[in-house]
Formats: sequence, structure tokens, C-alpha cells
Amino acid sequence: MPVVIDGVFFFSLAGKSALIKALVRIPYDDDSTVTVSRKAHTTLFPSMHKVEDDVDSVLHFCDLPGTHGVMPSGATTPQFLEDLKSMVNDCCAHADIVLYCFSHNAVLDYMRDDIREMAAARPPENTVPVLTKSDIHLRGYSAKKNDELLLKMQRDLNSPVKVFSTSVLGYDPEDEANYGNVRQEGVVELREYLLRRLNEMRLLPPSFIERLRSGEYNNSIMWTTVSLTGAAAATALVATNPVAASSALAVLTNYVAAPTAAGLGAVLTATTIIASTLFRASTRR
Amino acid sequence: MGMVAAEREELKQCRALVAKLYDIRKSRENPSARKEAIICLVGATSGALNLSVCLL
Repeated sequence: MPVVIDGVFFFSLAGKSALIKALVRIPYDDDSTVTVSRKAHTTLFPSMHKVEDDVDSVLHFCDLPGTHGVMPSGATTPQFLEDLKSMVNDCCAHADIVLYCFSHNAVLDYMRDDIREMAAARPPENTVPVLTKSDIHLRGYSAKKNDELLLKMQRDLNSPVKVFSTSVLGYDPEDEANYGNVRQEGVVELREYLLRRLNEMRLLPPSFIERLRSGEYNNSIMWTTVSLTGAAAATALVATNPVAASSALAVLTNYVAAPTAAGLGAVLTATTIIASTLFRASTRR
Repeated sequence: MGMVAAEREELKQCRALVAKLYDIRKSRENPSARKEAIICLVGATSGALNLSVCLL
């Protein structure tokens, strides 16, 4: 009689949510905005967060599902990954900067293809490869060996940008051994690179960038998570992009009692936390 | 086999995000619009690998 063991064989998560928290100094135990979970994008959805200042400048972070490898938990159709990849690429096409997060110690062909596609949509220095969980992949080797490995990854990815390595521990409540004992490596360097790029692109006021750099947020900067809905998709897509809207026929079908544009605001729910909380995070590191 | 509800919902939310990002980019055409920048984080791989192991 066959015995079936259905379970998680290994994890290939990139740790993007924890990286976002570390980059903008959200406390490890603040789950009201960014939730860190080992199963995050196997069961949850893309998320969008923003840091906003008092003169209406906004830095958006979009946390997107991974699109390669295996079907997310619960998915049933192979086409799903293709559709997901297509839409994740559409999201990335609008991004000013893309962080391509991976947690492997070797570069695979599809990763090189991803980097090439993403770099084609923006200045090449704005597609940034990030080796996450470097505490796993780089441990046991000398700093010189690690530098050589990262350089080889950059060459294999054919990336004009160096591979940043980050390790963010202490944010995952399921990791009982480390939860609350926040340790970060490589985050400051990555943050500096991102802020330098944003400054050069002149998309945000220098004063805002400086506050993001220093961590000296004040009560006038807010951290917000926006949850997206299918209704929002249908409404916004029709309103803004007729071409894309035609490909979203399925969405419209499902939302035939479609919301009006005015309803868009109602279906976007926001949780706001004043950034004085964020500032406290820097003291917990 | 058709898509399950979770798949449809995930794709819908991705579409919603695409539309929202499009709006943000479009607003840059208006000089008086607020200043916005977008950083996307995308993972190379999807979640956990679930395996069914049959032991005979």
C-alpha cells in the first residue's frame, strides 16, 4: 500500500518582505504593513507599500510573487505561472528600479533571461540583482572567496550592476530561534545604492531621499500598505489602458456588476502608521 | 483543468497592480503631480516546492 507524504520539501523563498522591512526600517514585529512569512507568495498576493512625506512625495515598494520553478501551493494549471510571469513583467516594466532577488549559489539560465528582460525596460543600472539569505549561501568561505563568487554571479547574469548580498534575520515569526534577534548584513550598502540611483533620477526631492537615508523620519512621513482587489483591476485598467483592458476580459467577466471609478477608492484599503514607529526600528537593530 | 479561485484572485491582483503602476507613471506627465518613484522586488523562484513522495 503506498504511503503518501505531502509536504514542503525545501524552501526557495527569497525573503523579499523581510528585505523591504529592513530597507525602510520597519520594526521586526510590526505586521500591520509588511508581513514576513515563509509561505508568503505561495499563498498570498502581490503587495504594494509606500513611504510618503508631508509634501506628497511617495516611494512605492511592490512586492511581487516569484514566477519560476514550481507551482505555488494550491495552483493547478501550468498556464498560471506563465500568466503570472507575464503580469509580473508588466509590473516591472513600470518600475524605476527592480530588485531581482534570488537565493541560490548558482546562476541558472532563466535568471539570466530575467535580468536581460528587466534591464531592457530601464537604464541597465536600475536592475539590481540581490543574493538574499547570504548567511546561508556565503557562510563558511573567506571574504575573498565570497567576493569572487559574487563577481562570478554578476558575470553569469551578464549584469552591469554588481550582485548585492543581503542577510536579514529576525523578522520571521516562524523562525523561533531568530525571531526578534534582528541581524542585517548588506542592507545599508543596498539602501545607499538605491537612494543614489533615486537621487540621480531626480524623481524624489533630495530632502526626502536624505530622510530615507538617515532614518530620521518624523511624524509627517507615513508608511502605508495598499491592498489591491480584482475590482480595482477592472476599474483602473479600463480607465487607463484600453489595450491591457482587452486582455483582462476575464476580470471584467468576473466583475460584471462592475464598480464605478468612484468605487476604486473604496476598494483600496489602507493601513497607516506614522513613521515615528519606523524611526524606532533603527534603534532595534 | 481550470484555475482555482486562488489563482484567479492572484492574477487579478497582479492586474490591479499593473494598472496602479501605470497610473503612477502616467501622472508624471503632469508637472504639478506629486513626486513618486517605484521600486519592485521580484523573486527568481516561486515559494516552496511541494512534493508528493510515494513510498511503495
